[in-house]
Amino acid sequence: MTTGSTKPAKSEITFFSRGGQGGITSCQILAEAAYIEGYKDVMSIPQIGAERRGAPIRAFLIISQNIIRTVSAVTKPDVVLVFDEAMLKLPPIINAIPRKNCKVLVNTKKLNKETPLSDEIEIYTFPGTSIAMNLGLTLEGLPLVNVPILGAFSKLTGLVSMESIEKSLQNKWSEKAEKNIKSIHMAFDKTIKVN
Amino acid sequence: MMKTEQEKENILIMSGNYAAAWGAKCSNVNVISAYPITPQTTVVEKLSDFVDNKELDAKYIRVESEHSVMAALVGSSMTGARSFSATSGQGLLYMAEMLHWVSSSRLPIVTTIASRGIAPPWNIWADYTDILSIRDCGWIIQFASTHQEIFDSILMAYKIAENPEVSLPYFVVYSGFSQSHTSKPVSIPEQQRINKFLPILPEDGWGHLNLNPDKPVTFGNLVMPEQEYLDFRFMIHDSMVKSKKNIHDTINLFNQSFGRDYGGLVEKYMCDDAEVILISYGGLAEQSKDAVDKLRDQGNKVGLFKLRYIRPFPNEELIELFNSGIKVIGVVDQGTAFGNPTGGPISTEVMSLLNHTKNRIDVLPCIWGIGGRNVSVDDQIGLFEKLLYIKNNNEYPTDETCQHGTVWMGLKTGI
Amino acid sequence: MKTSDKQPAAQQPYKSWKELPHVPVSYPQLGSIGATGEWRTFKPEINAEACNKCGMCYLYCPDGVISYKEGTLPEIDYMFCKGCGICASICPKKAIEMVKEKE
Repeated sequence: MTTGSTKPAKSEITFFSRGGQGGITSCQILAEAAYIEGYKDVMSIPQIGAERRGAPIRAFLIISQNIIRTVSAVTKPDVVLVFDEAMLKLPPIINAIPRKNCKVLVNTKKLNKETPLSDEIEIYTFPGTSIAMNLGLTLEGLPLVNVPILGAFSKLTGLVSMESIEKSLQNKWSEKAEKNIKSIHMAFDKTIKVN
Repeated sequence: MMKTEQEKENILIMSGNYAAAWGAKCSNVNVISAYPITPQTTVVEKLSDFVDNKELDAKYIRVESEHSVMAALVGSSMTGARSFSATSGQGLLYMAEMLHWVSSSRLPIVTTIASRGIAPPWNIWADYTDILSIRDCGWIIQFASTHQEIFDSILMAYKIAENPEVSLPYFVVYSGFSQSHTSKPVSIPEQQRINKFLPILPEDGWGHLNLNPDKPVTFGNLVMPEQEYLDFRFMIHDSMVKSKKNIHDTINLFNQSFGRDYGGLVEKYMCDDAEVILISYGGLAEQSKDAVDKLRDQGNKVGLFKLRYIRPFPNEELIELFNSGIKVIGVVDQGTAFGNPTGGPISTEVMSLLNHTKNRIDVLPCIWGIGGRNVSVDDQIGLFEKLLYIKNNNEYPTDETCQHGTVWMGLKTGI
Repeated sequence: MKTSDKQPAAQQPYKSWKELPHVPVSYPQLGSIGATGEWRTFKPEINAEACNKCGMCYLYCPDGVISYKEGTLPEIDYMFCKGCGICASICPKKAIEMVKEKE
């Protein structure tokens, strides 16, 4: 775990999910965890408007050691979280991932070699779907990777500690958080760098 | 010290809309009526939750439209009940007739607006044209440019509005989505301390008007041309202008009580030695501080003059600014006023005060961010650069986004 | 008691806006715009023999100047009756006649 002083002054994270996968909730939980971690200001920016199940949805998170004053869109994220590998086939999503100075995390067992991601960014994967299925983290039969992905995020960035994410989960679901807490640790352990 | 008091505050990460709902809850409102409309909906959802869970002892009146919302609150407020609503865009416009009923009845109703674009074409993102188009209906209009300010403003709004000298309704305005749906930390002070700050509700209703079946009165009478209609109109204007004193007093008292200082009707940022000033309001004005910081780092004498209130209008503060030696101002509207002397309503109003100074000041009006169009810090720096160009070259920029004397930031010009 | 036992209240003219309350409010008072009976050209007169004491005139009078109790003859307050003739028009027995006021 890194200390506050070595963390960057400001980090911007983009969440790519599908309607119903809990991407916006995920963004909100991480915002709270980052605040618990000790960042001076956090801002979660769900890009809502015409939300529909299955449609690609973006959410942004800014965590900062200073007061955040911006209300504009995040266009150069430091970290990109992709809930579903198939979304990388969509041009608006692949185009929104920076070509350098960025870490991308994809929920997949094995990343498709033809995925058009830049070689100059760090690419990570974690098997979020199987973790969610194994733990029974589902909604109407669909696996929920929105919480496990936070464990993977902690592993690859060190921006927010597992303890802070646990606290945030407990605040949200109290005793029911147990399964979710287990899931972030499983994801933490199974997150690998692929390039 | 104030610090220990502040530590008692409960900090929650919440959306701008939830901050508005919490503001109403912590103001101990008695009656809520609201009709859901994007992007205001979650204010209504949260408040109905509060009432349903008995966390808030208020009556929630469900109605079929925004017009009825405000009609219902005219009734509740006339009985002396602290009344609250929230709306947005088309809903606010639908409410327009009743807004005049409220102000002309001098009822201290507080309403939050999550401003959005006006259809058609449908647009639900930030655009202050809704509130700007009803700016002359006798309500105090305050912009909240941070999440914390949304919450805090509602507490202050009741304190100001219910002051018998003011007796005017109050809008707290913030932008749709970029403020209503984003989440940030909001500090909620202990309720006991809030209760000490809030005004005490009179038992027999407001001094000027109390709807009580045991003591019947007629209100809203016909007034003949030779009677006092003109005089009553003047009094609304008079009270609005004089409310500036109550606003300052309330901001000071709030600072003493909770340790957060909102300054006054305006907020000046790096204005003291500035030659070039940007005047704006709302969330994007707050963001402009980042642009000012970057330009200051490069040695440019620029500043931001943020309007917190547009009704009452901060005449004195603006005239003082005009006489401070500034050379160029940019006035930015996040809203439209078609056919106005400038493209936006507030730039026109700011320019109307220029004859109070003998100094030559160049003014560049601008419109940005309407319908949620993204405005980045770099875009804002670009506008400052236009202002600096005017100062250095003594001529106005002629690029294609400048139409009819106003910069329409981001206008698609094919270039 | 007939309402006209009291004299109408005089209007209070305001000299300055500074004396005005925030909003105009009227309190219940007798004839706030004066003795409207002076407006009358035709006067309704009830024919006691033809009247069936149904009370329709009392219900329809727009100015509430007819007093009535069930089973009794209605009574008209001429200080405030404007002579509109609605009572005569509505009377099912044609027991109310509009009579020209004497000069």
